[in-house]
Amino acid sequence: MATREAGKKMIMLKSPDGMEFEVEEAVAMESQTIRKMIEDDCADTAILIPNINSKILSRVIEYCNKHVPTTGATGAAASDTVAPAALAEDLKIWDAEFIKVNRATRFDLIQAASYLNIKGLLDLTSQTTIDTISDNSLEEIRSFLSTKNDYLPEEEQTIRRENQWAFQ
Amino acid sequence: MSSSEPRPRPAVPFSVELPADALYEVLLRLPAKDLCRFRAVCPAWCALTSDPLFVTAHKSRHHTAPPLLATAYRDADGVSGVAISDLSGNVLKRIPSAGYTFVMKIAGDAIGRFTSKDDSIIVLSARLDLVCFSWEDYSEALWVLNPTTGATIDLPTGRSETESCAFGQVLRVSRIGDCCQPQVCEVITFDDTNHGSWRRKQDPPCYISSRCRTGCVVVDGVVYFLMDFYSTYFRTRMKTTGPGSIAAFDLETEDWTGVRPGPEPVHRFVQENEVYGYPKLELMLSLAELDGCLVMVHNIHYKSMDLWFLTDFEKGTWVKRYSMPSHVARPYRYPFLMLDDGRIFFSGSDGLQGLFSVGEQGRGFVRSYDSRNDTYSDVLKLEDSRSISIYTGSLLSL
Repeated sequence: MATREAGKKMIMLKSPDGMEFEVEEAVAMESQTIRKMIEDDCADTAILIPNINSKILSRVIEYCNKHVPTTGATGAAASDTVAPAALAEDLKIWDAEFIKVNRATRFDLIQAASYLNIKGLLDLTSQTTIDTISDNSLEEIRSFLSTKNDYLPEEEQTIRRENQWAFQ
Repeated sequence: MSSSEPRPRPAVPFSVELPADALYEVLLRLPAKDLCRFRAVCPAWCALTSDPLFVTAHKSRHHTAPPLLATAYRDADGVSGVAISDLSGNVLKRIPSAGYTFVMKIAGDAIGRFTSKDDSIIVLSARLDLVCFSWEDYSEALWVLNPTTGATIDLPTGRSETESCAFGQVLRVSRIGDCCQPQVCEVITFDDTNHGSWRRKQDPPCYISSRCRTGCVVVDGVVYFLMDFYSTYFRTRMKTTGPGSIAAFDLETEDWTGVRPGPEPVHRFVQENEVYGYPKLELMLSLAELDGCLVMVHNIHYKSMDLWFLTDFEKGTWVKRYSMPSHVARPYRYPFLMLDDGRIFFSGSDGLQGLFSVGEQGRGFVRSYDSRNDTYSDVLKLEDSRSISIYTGSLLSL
């Protein structure tokens, strides 16, 4: 396994389009999927991340870099010195900037976060989509998500009637 | 963060499909009510949000979401059943009951035939993803309804009228019966295929209050019963328990685990307030499970309603966490649910319905009290103020 800097293990992540990213193990382990691979000793060489192109993967790594807990080897969190509230506020602002991406990128990020099992990123990316759709009409949602309505009109009426209370 | 991002307008002719994995993650995070509305988006969304695996995953993610309520209804055609409602009072599902026909026999000869036609369902207090109910007139029998499937199990009839019953998470029922004889405690364990049989357990340590719907509650696998201080004293002339005492029955070990005195001010209440006698005090007391804790409700009518939380059963420590003002403290108000936002839900009725509940329809109600702004709001109308239960199942599976 590659090592750089004192004692910091490095992991190589490869995207299907051939790009390689060298990241600290702690950063890569923000992904529960990768953590499992490392813990199961399946990560001796580079890890190929299927279905996630280099553009999206680099953004995911950027997110993990920012969110990796700044914990020392002893387990004493750096937040002991920096006020935790200020740290959280800083992360929130950073997240808000991070998620200012177009819809296609956001959908790709949700999928990547889902595959790599990165809870924070999944919450962040899907929440933005939830905020967008939860107040909209069905027609707007279909259009926004390019979902085809393949209900027959009478089928849709039945479903609406069964769930009528939810429309109030 | 959403406010800083310009909302994509649906009119933009730009087509991006949400991949299936991403759609799953997004839908999993939406409240169940939104998902019910979105079932009309397309058949795929409807199928996904009805899938048992999705429903389970959604339930575990939203486990702090407010629960639903189960109440009894009787429609214009005389059909009785169980209705599931949300806390805003929307009826989500009505499940009609098949009712009962009961032939009374003496020495093998049928002497009378009773049906549920003129009877009313009583939903028994519980906090489960099942609904347990009985009937007003035919109260020897107990039914357990699964609102997801609509299937009803009728439990074997007990040896006598049920005075008090409690339903635990492990689907055991403890049941206490018989009015003149010493009280009997019975337990049943059942599932979909095996309806079980009543097993007699050790008799209660002392006489249990027969107000079955407000005098017992299950908290974390333990049933707590309010003891009947007054009638024990009246019958035996012996002070075996103090007023407001409780007894606990562990559903796991199926054993009585002890009797504890009530809160000190409840214990001394009659001695210190001469206008009240013990029968009156018993009408003021009820048990509830609020915020995962056993609570003794001391409703000092038209003065205050004090909520005593049992913080340590071993030491018998009670802590008064809330005291509701006089306009909440009316007779026949029974708190049964407290939400994280501090709202407390009561069932209740106006007038004398609590005493003479037969025939009076629609006079019961569920209201919520918000202590932050001292407001009271209507939630539901009920036929009987004590016929209500908390349904913990997912509304997606209804």
